[in-house]
Amino acid sequence: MIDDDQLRRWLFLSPVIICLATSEFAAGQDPYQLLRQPGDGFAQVEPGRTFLFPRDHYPHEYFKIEWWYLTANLTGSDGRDYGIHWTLFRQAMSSAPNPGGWQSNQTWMAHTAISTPRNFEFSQRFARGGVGQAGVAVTRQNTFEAWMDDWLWLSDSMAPFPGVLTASTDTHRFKLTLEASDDWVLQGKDGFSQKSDLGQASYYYSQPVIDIAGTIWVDNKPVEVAGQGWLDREWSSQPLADNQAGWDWVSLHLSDGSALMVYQLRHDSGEHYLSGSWVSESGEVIVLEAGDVTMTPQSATRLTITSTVGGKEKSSIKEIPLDWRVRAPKLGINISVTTERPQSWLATEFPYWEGPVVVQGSHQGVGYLELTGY
Amino acid sequence: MTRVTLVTLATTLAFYRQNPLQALFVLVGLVLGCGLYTSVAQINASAEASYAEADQILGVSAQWRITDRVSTEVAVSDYIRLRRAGFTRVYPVIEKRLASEDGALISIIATDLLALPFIGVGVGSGDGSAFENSPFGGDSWSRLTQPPYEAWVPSQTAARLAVTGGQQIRLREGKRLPPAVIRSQAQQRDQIFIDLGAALSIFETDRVSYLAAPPLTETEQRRFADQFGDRLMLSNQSKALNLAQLTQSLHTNLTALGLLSFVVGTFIVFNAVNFSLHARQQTLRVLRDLGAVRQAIVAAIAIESLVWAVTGALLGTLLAQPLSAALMPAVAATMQNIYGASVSSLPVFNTGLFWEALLLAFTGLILALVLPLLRATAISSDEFSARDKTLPSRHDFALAGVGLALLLLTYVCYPIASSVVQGFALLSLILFAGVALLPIIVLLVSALGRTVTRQYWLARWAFADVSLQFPHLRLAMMALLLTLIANIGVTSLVGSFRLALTEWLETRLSADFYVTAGGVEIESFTGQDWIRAAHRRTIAERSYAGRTITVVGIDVDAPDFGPDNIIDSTPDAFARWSVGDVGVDRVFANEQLRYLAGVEIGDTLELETELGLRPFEVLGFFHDYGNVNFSLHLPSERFEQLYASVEPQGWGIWVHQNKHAAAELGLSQLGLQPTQWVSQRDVRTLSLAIFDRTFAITGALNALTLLVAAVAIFSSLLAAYQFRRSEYALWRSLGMSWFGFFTVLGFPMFLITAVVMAVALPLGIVLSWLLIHKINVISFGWTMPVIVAAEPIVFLFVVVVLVVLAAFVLASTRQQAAVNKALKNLAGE
Repeated sequence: MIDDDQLRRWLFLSPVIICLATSEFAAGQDPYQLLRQPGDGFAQVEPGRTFLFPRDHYPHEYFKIEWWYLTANLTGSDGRDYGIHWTLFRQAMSSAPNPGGWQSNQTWMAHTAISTPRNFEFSQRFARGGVGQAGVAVTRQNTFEAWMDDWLWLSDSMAPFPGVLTASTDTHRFKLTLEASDDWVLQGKDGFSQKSDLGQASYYYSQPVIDIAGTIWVDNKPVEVAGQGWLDREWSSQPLADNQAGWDWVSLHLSDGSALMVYQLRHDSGEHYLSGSWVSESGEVIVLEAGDVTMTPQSATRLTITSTVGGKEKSSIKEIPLDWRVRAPKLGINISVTTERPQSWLATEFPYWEGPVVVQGSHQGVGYLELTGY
Repeated sequence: MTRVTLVTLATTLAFYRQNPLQALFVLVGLVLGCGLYTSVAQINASAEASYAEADQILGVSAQWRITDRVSTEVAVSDYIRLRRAGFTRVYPVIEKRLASEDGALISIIATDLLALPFIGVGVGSGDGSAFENSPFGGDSWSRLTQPPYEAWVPSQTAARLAVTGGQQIRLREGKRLPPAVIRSQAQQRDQIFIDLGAALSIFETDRVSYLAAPPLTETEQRRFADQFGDRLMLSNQSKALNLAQLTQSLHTNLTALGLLSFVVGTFIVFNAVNFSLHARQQTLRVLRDLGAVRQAIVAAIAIESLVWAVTGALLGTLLAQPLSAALMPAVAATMQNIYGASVSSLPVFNTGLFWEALLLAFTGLILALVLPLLRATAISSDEFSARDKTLPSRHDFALAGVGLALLLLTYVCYPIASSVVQGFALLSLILFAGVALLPIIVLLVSALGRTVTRQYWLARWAFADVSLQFPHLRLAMMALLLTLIANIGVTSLVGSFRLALTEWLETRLSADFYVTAGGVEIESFTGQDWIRAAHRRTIAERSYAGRTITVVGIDVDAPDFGPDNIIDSTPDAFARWSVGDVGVDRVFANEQLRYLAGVEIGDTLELETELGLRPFEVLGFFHDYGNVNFSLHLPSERFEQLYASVEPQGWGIWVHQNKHAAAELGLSQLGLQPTQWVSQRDVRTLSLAIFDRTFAITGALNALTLLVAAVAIFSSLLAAYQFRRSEYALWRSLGMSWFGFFTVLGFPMFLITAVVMAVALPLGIVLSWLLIHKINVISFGWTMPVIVAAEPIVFLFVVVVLVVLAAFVLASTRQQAAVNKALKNLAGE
């Protein structure tokens, strides 16, 4: 029997959290080291894999890390721009078979970020696998479901589309319907996306054209929104090489109806590893490699980052390249990529910048920029 | 003036260089007094800091608790449902208090760290500093949550249980905890932390003790009630009695003991200062003759006091460190066992305590100085000697009057006192009354003795000397009296409690086995030749007056609950309870409901049942020691109707004599695992072991105060003999034998001690009566019969006599040499 007044006893857990979060381990350690650790014992990414849908929309537990990554540029009924970013990450803690239940070796992390004309708000959650608190699975009604607590992407079929996504941050929330064709873009060589000359790679496919409509409640005030989104699916056991500090990634919807994705993995020295794809309005896919495309920062923006460590707020300054020039001469693309929302830093466990961008130059358009390892 | 003061100071201080023993006594008094007071204050402050931290957890304190309306535990599936419904700050907790294989008490807490509401804490620090320990980062998460798991054992707990890293603690029922990792987080206190997944696996369950949540908004509370209100119950823990309130009596008790030590310490200082001033009278007189004004002498003595105070406070604070470290585990055990509160068994140093100790030392020293200083500077030694009288003075009678008035005041105030502080005020009235009455009693006994022994010159002389020695010993004896009253009071309290608890355990745990598998049917037990009786236990938890109330379904013919267990009831209560009635349900309630919630016999409580809100009439009360919750006993037949869906918790099994082994074999044959039954005999032994450990603190503090009192007596004797040394030399020069000398010297000492013990005995018993019937009731809500056992008191008195004898032998041996020296001086050698 549990005594009524024993409750506060367990309060020692707070230092556990603090310990988990701060002092015991060296501060300043690069969180992205996780992505550089060799995935010994885990399944490895090899070229020549055959993708099978809808199976590949679901977890690949024998790989160490995996994500479902949605970004969207939306316009509100008030005529202003809104941005949505919702991700679900899965990590396997060991390469042993997953015993499931409360002994599951899978953990989940989810981020929701909502960019409004007024502010940028994000939220982060964690959950253990196996207990029903988070996951990606087929429901009893044979439909696709990806969730973390009450953040839920529920579809009408075994594929993610058409579906409804509901999520929230502290003061904002949204409910969006997502519609897309069943044509998936396999990135890299038939979905084998190389990240380094040393062999690091991931399996990577996208849905670059998602029609989105719904409501964002900003401080409980509803705003009807509509626009386009982009879904990335990726899994790997070691996506980063030792000499790679992070990556710069951009996904853009251009005014001619095409979609462009470019990323570069930044090497400590020497040339960065560059790759991308261009999808025409009709669905034609062109893979872009180094030499086909360049991605050059034009200037750095000083951001004041406010974060909380051990219950105390602290501020730091970061210089981040938020002004880019992207050139793909063969495709006649020469564009600038800039943001009107520089304060889109996610001070999460794995901190990064992810926000809506505006395209100008040879093409007009909108998209999302992601910068990690800064 | 300054220069004169400095010269005076140098001169007066020179005394201590020549008489290091005096310096030692002043120091011992201050250090012991300050040390004990500070260590107790430090213990209190550490425990209170634990409670304060309880409310400071980054806004994620467990202010709300969610329990199952029917079961005592919550299904993990309900927890997941809550999370998926958006109650994302709700987290699951398993709490267990178990015994290790060798009977040590183990407190286990388990939760899912990933589920805790991180509100701006580290995780999400934005600079990745938390990476290594993040669930998405290093290995530590994996080690904690994957077999063989980890048990995070705080270092002090590890030391208590003699566990080293990697070792697995084996529990009494055979289960093993995961390999220990010695991790001492601040505030982890005495609990072993394991992951929730590990706990569910080890305890083979899919239910948690409760769900907790930080402050919830009104909207969230309403949403909870709408969506889950029919199955789960949300209760605000801050409305329940908080820990600081609950444990106030223990802390007041400790503070009182700490202050008692300080008072006794001040007595020592008083004697030492008195003596040192007396010894320096000649010096002071010379200084005055040399032109040092009285103010300069007072200033010098004040500076000297300051030096003493600082040194005493400093050393006292230092002494307090090992002392509180030694006492803290016992306090932590008390908190855990009586109040269900977990505090760290490591004391936390706080600089404020040093200043407090300094202030106390200085105040105490000034108090001790005032009278001797006035005498030393204003009154000549001859005048002072002339004040010693062999008959009680008017002043003594006045003091006795005060003592009687205090006793009367205690009697008058007794019914009014209703808080812990008021209760302790009553106790102090008793103590002061004792102190005030002591002189007159001693002097009257001495006068009576002289009259009775008129024919025997030595006896008459010895009795007469009582009056001469008493002024010097007065304060030390008062200190001894205080210590003895407190000792007898507390010892009787603990003894009464132990006896009451033993008796209560005998009845309440009268079953030989308790089978924890509630699902076993009665049919399984019928026909077994070893079984004498089997009775089922069912429990439903509700909330009443801000506390949990457990409604227990009891078979009316169960041997562990009968008319004898009812301490106060209406006529035929048990019979009426057994048969029940239409319209109103009759219950017996634990005393806690009477004393803490003001429920009286005949009152009706309204509680939620599965048939809606129902009235329960209280027919009587039963003892329920150690329970911090309210409890009601309802006949099991009625219980099953009112709480139909409650799963039975288990069975109490009574077996025939000498069939213990057969019963264990029989239980195995019924398909029960060894972990599914407990031998009640073991539980009884364990409960008493826990009790003894809990009250170790009282014993330790009693011993310490007694030690301080012994030092006080020793220093007083030295002072007394010093005052009268020339007189003693005269006795010897007149031809008195050493036998006669020591008889006259020693007899008063032991007579006074005997009077002190005689006064302490009744007052100690009154004190224990007050402790049990006032403080105990106010603090815990239970009572018990006061039982004064002769053995511990006789033991205490023997110890006191030995202590006094030792002090006398030590002091008088020194005296013998000193008298010889004085004699030689007299003879001009």
